[in-house]
Amino acid sequence: MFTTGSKLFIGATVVSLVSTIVVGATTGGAIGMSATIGLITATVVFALVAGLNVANRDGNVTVDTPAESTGAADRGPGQSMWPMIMAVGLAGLVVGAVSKPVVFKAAVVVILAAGLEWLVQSYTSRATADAAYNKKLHQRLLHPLEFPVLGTVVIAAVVYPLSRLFLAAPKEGSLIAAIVVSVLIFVTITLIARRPGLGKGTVAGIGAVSLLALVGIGVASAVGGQRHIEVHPEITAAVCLGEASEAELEEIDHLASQQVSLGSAVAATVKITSDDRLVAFINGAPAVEYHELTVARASNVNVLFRNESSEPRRLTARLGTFAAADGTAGSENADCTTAVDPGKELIFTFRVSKPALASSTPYSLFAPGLEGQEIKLLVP
Amino acid sequence: MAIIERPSAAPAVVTDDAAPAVVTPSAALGIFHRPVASTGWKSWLFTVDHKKLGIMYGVVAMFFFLVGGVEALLIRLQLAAPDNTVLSAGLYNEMFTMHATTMVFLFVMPMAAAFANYFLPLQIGARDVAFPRINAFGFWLFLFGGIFLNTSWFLGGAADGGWFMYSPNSSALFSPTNGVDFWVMGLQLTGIASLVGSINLIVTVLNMRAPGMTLMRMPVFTWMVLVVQFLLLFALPVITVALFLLSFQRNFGATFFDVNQGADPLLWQHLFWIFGHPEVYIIILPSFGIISEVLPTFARKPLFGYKFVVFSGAAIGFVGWGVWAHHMFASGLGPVSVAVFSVATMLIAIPTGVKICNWTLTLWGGKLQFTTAMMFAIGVIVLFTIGGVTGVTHAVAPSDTQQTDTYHIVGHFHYVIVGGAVMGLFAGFYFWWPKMFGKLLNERLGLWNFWLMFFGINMTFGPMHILGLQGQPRRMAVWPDKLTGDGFFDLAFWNKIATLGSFTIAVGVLLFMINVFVTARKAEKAPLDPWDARTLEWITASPPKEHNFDSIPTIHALDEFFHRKYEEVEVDGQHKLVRVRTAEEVLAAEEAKADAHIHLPSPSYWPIVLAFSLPIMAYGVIFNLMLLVAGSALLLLAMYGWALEPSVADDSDYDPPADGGSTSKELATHG
Amino acid sequence: MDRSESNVRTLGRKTKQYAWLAAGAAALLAGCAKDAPQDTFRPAGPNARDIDTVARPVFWTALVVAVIVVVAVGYAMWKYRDRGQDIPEQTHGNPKLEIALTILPAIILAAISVPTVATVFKLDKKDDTACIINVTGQQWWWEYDYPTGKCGDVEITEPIVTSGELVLPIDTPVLLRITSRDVIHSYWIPRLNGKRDAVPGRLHTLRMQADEPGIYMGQCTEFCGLSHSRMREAAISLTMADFQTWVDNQTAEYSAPEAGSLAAIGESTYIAQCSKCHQVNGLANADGTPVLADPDQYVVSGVAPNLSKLMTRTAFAGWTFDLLTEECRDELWRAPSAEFGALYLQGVYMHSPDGVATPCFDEARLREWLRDPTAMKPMFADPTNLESTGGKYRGMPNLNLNEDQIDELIAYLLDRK
Repeated sequence: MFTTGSKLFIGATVVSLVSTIVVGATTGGAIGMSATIGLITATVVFALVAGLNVANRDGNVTVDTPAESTGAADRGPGQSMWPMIMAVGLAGLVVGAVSKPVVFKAAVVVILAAGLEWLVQSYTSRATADAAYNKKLHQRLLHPLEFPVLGTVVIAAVVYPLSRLFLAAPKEGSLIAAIVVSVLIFVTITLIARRPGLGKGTVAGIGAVSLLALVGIGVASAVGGQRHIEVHPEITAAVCLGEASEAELEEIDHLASQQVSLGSAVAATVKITSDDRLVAFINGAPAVEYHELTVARASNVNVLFRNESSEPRRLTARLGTFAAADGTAGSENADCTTAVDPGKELIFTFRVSKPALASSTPYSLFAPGLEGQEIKLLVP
Repeated sequence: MAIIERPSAAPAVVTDDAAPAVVTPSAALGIFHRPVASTGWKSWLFTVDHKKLGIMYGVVAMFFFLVGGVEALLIRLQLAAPDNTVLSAGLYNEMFTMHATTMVFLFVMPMAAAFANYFLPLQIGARDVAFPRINAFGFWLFLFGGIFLNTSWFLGGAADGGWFMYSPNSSALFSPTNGVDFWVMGLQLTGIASLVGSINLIVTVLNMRAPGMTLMRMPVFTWMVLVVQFLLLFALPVITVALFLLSFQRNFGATFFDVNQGADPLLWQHLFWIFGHPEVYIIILPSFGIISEVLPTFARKPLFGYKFVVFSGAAIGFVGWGVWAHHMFASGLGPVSVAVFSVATMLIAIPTGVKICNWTLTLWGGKLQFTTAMMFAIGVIVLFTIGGVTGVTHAVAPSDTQQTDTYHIVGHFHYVIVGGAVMGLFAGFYFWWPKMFGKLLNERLGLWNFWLMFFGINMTFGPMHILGLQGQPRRMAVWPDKLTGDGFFDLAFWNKIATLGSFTIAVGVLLFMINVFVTARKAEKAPLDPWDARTLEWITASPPKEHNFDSIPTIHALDEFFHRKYEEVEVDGQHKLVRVRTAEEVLAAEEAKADAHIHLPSPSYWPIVLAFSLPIMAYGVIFNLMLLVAGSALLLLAMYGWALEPSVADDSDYDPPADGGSTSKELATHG
Repeated sequence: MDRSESNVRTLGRKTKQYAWLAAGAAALLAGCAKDAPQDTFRPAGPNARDIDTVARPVFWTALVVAVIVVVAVGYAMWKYRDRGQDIPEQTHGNPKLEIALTILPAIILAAISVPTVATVFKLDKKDDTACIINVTGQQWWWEYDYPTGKCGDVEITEPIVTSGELVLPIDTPVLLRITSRDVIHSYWIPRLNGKRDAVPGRLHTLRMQADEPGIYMGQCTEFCGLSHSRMREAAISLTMADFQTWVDNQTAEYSAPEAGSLAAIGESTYIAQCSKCHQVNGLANADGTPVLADPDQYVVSGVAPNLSKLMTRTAFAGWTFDLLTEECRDELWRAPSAEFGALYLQGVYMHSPDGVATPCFDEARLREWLRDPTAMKPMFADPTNLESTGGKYRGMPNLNLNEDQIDELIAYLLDRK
């Protein structure tokens, strides 16, 4: 009924269940809570694996004769790395207890993992007299757990340090770092691929060393903290109408994007010419300068704003003033771009919901600071 | 994952009892038996046999063909008269969306998968596909995905955005029912099914060919299937991404296609058609493969220009990636893009033309036998040519701006899909039926079936060209009387003819069903080699044994089977082909050297369980996140169960061979 | 020779009439409708003609290629049928022939591609634009607005907003600037040019030019939801003088109904029932403040058709339902181009001797519409089911008007001429 492997996990399930009850009943506080949750998880996982082993007869390895009938003690113990890893974990526990909680937690995970592996190893190594069978049993029991977990760990070990590195390095630095890392990976893999005779150990060694280096860089970056990342303030009507303070404007425009993705299919191109005139060219009559634009209401209007003057300028749309619901006069609505440097361009999308008649102030496009230049917006 | 193992260390125990023909599992150590049934419903539910899966693919696809066909008939009924009221506008929109979705994703693709699954391993001399359990998983996921998609009819209405599901019309604001969610998740599920299937078949073709079966000796059907699998492999991820964007927008508040947040709705169109255009070739190439088998068989000569046909198929596969924007000539891409894609689209007509020429030249100088399969194959040449040349008329971009989204396009692609792909699949039915079921379909009914479908297709889709060119747009729930024009041959007339034609096709398909039924009831077995066929799948019993071949054949030539039957002799100074062996003799020679131990992958519970967990998760996304959790739990369980289970059940699960000549799995087949 | 093989051969003999195969396709080309209003092969302007010029030879080429293939297949089927001849030589092809058959289609396609590319760029020409009209699609109707400025010889002094019917002067290169307010639509007047999609957030251009005065029917051709099939449009081309008349009328002052008339009651009914969404230019409240429609509060697309000059159009509700009676409509459609403009400019007052009687007005249809619009044209306008749109309508809801209100409204709307 019960297979060799399933007995192990049923035992483990029972042990963790009992521990859960004991810990849950005796330990309180935050530690008790986390310990209980951890043990419940362990119980569920052990129960799941046990059930699967029962269902699958240990992955269907032939066991015609029960393991008990074989001379389990015929063979001496083999090699094992788990005692060493367990020791590392214990050391980490001590170090963590006096330094940082994160080290302590990591050590607990290492101890639990090593414990599980050790347990399964010592069990399977003497499950039967047949060494090949024992090995197969070991793999069948642990690979479905090890592969996904190790895969996740390796991916995390790559992603996390890199993300820390990118956050810590300055903007251009992280760009360079990304290029360097990917080139390194590519070169290394190419070199390895060109030497098919390379030993498994060498490759694993290279992998391990790189991973360690990466983790080291990541830890260093994380400790160093991330660079200052600015949060841009919202564009408000005050900003657009030129009523905001210099400092606020400076903050909005600093490092603002000056790039355009949608270059075609815009309603108009609005340009500040080199002699500081504001003119519009519409898609459809490219040669004519417009000083009035007819704009459909309730529709997003895309305008390409190009600044050919010598000053950075923003383009502002006056979007009307409407009485509020309680009858009081509202304030003027406006929308605008960030300041566009000389020679650059930007897409400006605005939307007019109501016809011009409904507004007590006119609709128009203008560039704050550029006096007397205006493009009327007609909204029928 | 090796599927055929010949363990040398563990010799099978020969028992004295020679009688048992039924396989019994050995005493179980776990609570569940590993499924080993070779008969009964369990043998189908848990099978990993590519032939059983192929047949199930076929049955399910046929069912969805009928569903999609009924939808088509309703659409045609609605359009038979101006301002008709058979369907409401909302229902009509759901109907044409689901008609296209069903026919493309639930009929043509899986029916091609049915043939690919069944015949690809047989044609390359393999005993199964590379990943048999993934194969089973793919089938069940397709079935559950198809059912899931169609349950939307009963859960608030099906998707109503058209199969192209253009944003922003597909957003929750403009399509508030769950229909689009069902469509998105349903396509994700069937997409996973197709994707795992494609990887499986690619690995199978590249790794599991019989000795001597070089790539350039592979049958054309296998070649075309291989090209299709590569197309699937690269096209499906694109639609998967697009569907994820859409479902995140609808279910989790993302704004990928929201214009008010600065998105450009053309993003969806590009993503959809980068998938959608290769999809056209995914649909048509298997059929090209089938008729490239049928035509040489009944012309009694090899395919003309085998290499050209193969490479033009591969060329279509490559160039097919560079033409997607020809679906968007009216979208406002700008003249440069339009010109480039227009010319690229014309390029693809060249390899297609090569194929048509080669098929025609295969007939040239042959000894033609007009069986039903042959008639369907010739029907493909004719109808696909018509669909192809009308395709060139809308490769001309200015001309296309008049034709796109009209019935002219509908006529064009139905000539390609029904006249090309579906007729080809029917050629496959008639050609391979005796191989799959050991009985010949009735030829008289078959020819009726062919002529009804052939005339029906021309009656239905021919007039659509006129309708479109004279200004009837597509996807219109009603067309107004004002549109019809004057004269006897007005648009109302052609709409009625098209509706009549669609029912003619329906009668043709009905005859096929009757034919299947009549054939199933008839006792007479088909001869081993009824068509004097040419390729490897015929060097085995009909239907094939579970392990396909008693011994893996060694290949010496293209059309291996033909060359084993016929040899060239010199008579009066002239070279003449003379039959030197019968098919039975060829088979007997192969059986005589049967392999001693054939280990096949064993049935498994997990593919169907894993496939079942995914629609639960999909319902969860739509209705309740708790269902998502339950589905994921089942998914996790099934994945670990699958991982723990070896692909091959142990010898002890089966009775050993009764005698030296037969193998354990042969017992399983006949038991 | 085994038994099945001889079976096969008898079958082959029974079905010899293979020339049939060619019949199907050829028969279909025989008959086409005459005067189909959306016929793509009846260009009525230079743009559509450019398309026609490049498309026609392609169709002929396609036909010739198809006929050659079908005839070749048919001939092979007859010539090489199984007559008991020997099994043919197992030839695997002829590389020279193959290469020739690859190059031949390449040459044909190269020949087609040159005029194709030339026409693509020709149709995109914009430098001779003499008039710009903005076209905006929404579920399920088209809005046109004419910006101020020159349109041909006509000076437009204030923007004109209309819907359904695009009015343009003949022989004038008009440029449509097409966009959308909600989903993707596609503007198509087959006799004047091909389609152009209206994509929200993008502005696409399409050239239009008509040779003669006339009416050209069209249809939205990008699937746009529930009532896609009832989103139609038309283009009306007028001589420059007639166009001037039309523009003058469109920009004319609001004509208030005579006090005490049914139409005057209709005005107040209109203000109470319709003016939340539908704008009538110049309409004012009793206190003299202008009545401004506020559709952005009630409709997803944010607009509703402007009704200031409703009765100058020949159809309403996405150009789906005629305002003209059947006979008058036919008369307008069949009018010789010289008389067309005069007829069209009368609108529903066609053949009205005194400018009051309306023999050509099909009142029943408008009445039915006002009773319940959703019954005539499916729209997303069920007030109990608007969660997905945040309470806004897509289309016009049922206003539950009584017959008296409908009488008043029709009287009022008849004045919008």
